[in-house]
Amino acid sequence: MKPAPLEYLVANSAARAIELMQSKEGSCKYVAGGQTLGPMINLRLTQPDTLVDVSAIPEMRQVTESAAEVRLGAAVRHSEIEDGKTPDPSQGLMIRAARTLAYRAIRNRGTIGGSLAHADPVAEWPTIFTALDARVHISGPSGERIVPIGEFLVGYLAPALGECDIVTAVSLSRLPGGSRTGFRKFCRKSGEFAHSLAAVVLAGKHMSRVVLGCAIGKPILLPEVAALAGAAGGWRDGMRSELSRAVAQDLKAAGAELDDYEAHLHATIVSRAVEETLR
Amino acid sequence: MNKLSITLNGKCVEADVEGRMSIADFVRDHNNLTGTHLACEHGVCGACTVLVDGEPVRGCITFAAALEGRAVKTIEAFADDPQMDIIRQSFSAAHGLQCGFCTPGMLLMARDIISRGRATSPEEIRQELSGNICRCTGYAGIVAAVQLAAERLAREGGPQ
Repeated sequence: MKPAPLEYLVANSAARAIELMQSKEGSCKYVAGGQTLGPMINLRLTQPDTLVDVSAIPEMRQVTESAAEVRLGAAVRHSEIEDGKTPDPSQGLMIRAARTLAYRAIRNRGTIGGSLAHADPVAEWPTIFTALDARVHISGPSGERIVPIGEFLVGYLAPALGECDIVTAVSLSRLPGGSRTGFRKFCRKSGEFAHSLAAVVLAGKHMSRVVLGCAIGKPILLPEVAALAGAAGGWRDGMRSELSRAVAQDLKAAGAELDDYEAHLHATIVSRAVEETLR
Repeated sequence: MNKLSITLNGKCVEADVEGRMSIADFVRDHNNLTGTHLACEHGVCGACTVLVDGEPVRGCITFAAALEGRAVKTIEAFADDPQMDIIRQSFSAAHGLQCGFCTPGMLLMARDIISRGRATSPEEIRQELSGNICRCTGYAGIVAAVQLAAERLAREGGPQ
């Protein structure tokens, strides 16, 4: 289908985008790559009166790095991460996740900020950035703020964003040398949203994180699994059943209600992600 | 209405476009470039693939107004492209099409995949082509065609 009529405005700064958002009557949405919003608009599931394009805002295209961290502008596209055009603080984890994120034509338009603002837990970045303990930079009518990813992602499709707030950048601490990472996802068709995805970051004393992304809410931290994986020097036989028990324990503690299939699927995907990390 | 000025297949094009207009509709309806096909119109099938600054994108979910100042290429731009000629011949030789509706998108993606060095095995080609849907061939012919083209281009000089 074709979209319903709408006004398309292109902002050249975050401040201007917020101003436009505040001044417009009717429903108004920010759009970056539009790879999720575009289909929804074409199907007329959402019919905004105005779109404010933030994809070309110079400050949101900016990438800066220091010895300690990398700051990626929110309008960095998935394919730029896939191609290694941006510095990688994650020792390959982000590049790996980007390679199988949707399809190349989508990755050439879609942005990391758009993915975060949409907060779909079965998309790659909410889970990956939770595993990397990212900080989200937000601009809004009341100024700028930096929110830890754990507070930014509130629930299923629910980011901690006010109506006129805009994600401007993501900051990621560089993983220390010798860190190990893993990533697994399950989907029935290449490129579709995951039924289950797991990211593992083992950064020694600094941080051990295992995160599960699935359609029940925000990405779930699995502390028992992380402790088990962090303490293991390498993969050993019999570890899969220990991990499955730990996944079940963590998901129960997180209040996740799962049927047998989902419980088995998530335990399998998390175990595989840990296994490839430790091998 | 948005004032739009883009380079389309190497020529400067200026037009007033509605905010809701996709680049696929713009090239088809305003510029008579009907090689870009529209099928699903929600970013799933890949028939509407066009290049923006040399990179493939979904034409149906890319607003024309978002592309001010950019360079857009459609399948028509590759009529005399030597690399695309080899890819077209490979599609013909390996039965990479039947009805031909998905073919413009397949050809553009195939050229992109080969140029990025991502056509090294049938498995990789399937993964990389998974965003383009064909309802005729069952994909075996298309995958074989891309592999054949990649091998020929590796011998005779890859896409620039």
